[in-house]
Amino acid sequence: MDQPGLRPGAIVRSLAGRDLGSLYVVVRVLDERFVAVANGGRRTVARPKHKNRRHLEVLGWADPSLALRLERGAKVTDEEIAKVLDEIPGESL
Amino acid sequence: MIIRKTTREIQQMKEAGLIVWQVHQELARVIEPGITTRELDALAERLIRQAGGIPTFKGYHGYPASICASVNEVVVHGIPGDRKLAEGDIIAIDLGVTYGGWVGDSAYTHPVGKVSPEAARLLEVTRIALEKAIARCYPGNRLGDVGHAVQSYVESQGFSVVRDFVGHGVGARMHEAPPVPNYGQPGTGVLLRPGMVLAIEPMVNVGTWEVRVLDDGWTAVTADGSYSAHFEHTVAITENGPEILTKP
Repeated sequence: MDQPGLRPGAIVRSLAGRDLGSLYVVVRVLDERFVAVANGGRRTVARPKHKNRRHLEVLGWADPSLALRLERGAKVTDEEIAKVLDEIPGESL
Repeated sequence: MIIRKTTREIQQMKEAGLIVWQVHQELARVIEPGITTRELDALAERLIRQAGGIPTFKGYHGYPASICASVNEVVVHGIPGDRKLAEGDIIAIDLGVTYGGWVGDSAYTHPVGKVSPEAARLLEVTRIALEKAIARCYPGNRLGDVGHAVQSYVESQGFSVVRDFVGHGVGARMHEAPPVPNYGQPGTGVLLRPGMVLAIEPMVNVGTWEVRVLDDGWTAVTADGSYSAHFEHTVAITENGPEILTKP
């Protein structure tokens, strides 16, 4: 079974830029090159950071129901995003 | 962290892989118009358990079945149910077996009866894309070389590769590092070293690469409703090159 790539709900680490090493959750796919990421802190769901796919590494993924809500554009709070990053599941790394 | 396996561990993984292969052989025999995906799932689970294995997918993040049965526009994670296969369908069967503590994981897409020329070509292109990816699995190459082999071939044939789901390292757990995308730039990404074991799995769409997930949270379909195919093998990187663990 495949695993999620750079899609809503993916937990990622920045590989390039001033935010090198920072952890985010992908909140939206913008196009073939860029995705929008948030960390629930400075980068919110409402104002996510745009990152080049090539500058991100997938570490794991959030709960499928949260991923589904992100994909559908349903409400996801910054607290939920921050919680995902606080509790990165070792099992899926 | 990428967990490299010893030669002995790779041979143990091959035992799990051969159960996966045997189950695929049996499923291929019974795929025909009229059979339901639930019947295929029940047969797979019975065969896996008879061989002393455990269906790896069942219960994984709550997944309810032993196989993924993805028909036509379903890209991956089709949940088995009462849908009867019809002449002209294509069905991707993805299954994993845990045996002796190791996981084997592979997928094939089958035509159901006679399919359209385009569907037949999709299956052929996806199968060849997997072969081309495996052919790049030599120590010293990089994952970008593997992904590029898939992407360049598939796109040259007028189809697209799925970005939202990727292959993965495999071992005692189904999903280990590193992710194995079906796209990339040559000479970039993780360096391949002996002892790495990867599940390489091109997912190829006739139309757009974009997908969406249905309300069940699992079933991923093409955004434009076009057909999608999926082939996969578990492959060990050895000093001498790739060794496919999910076939004899």
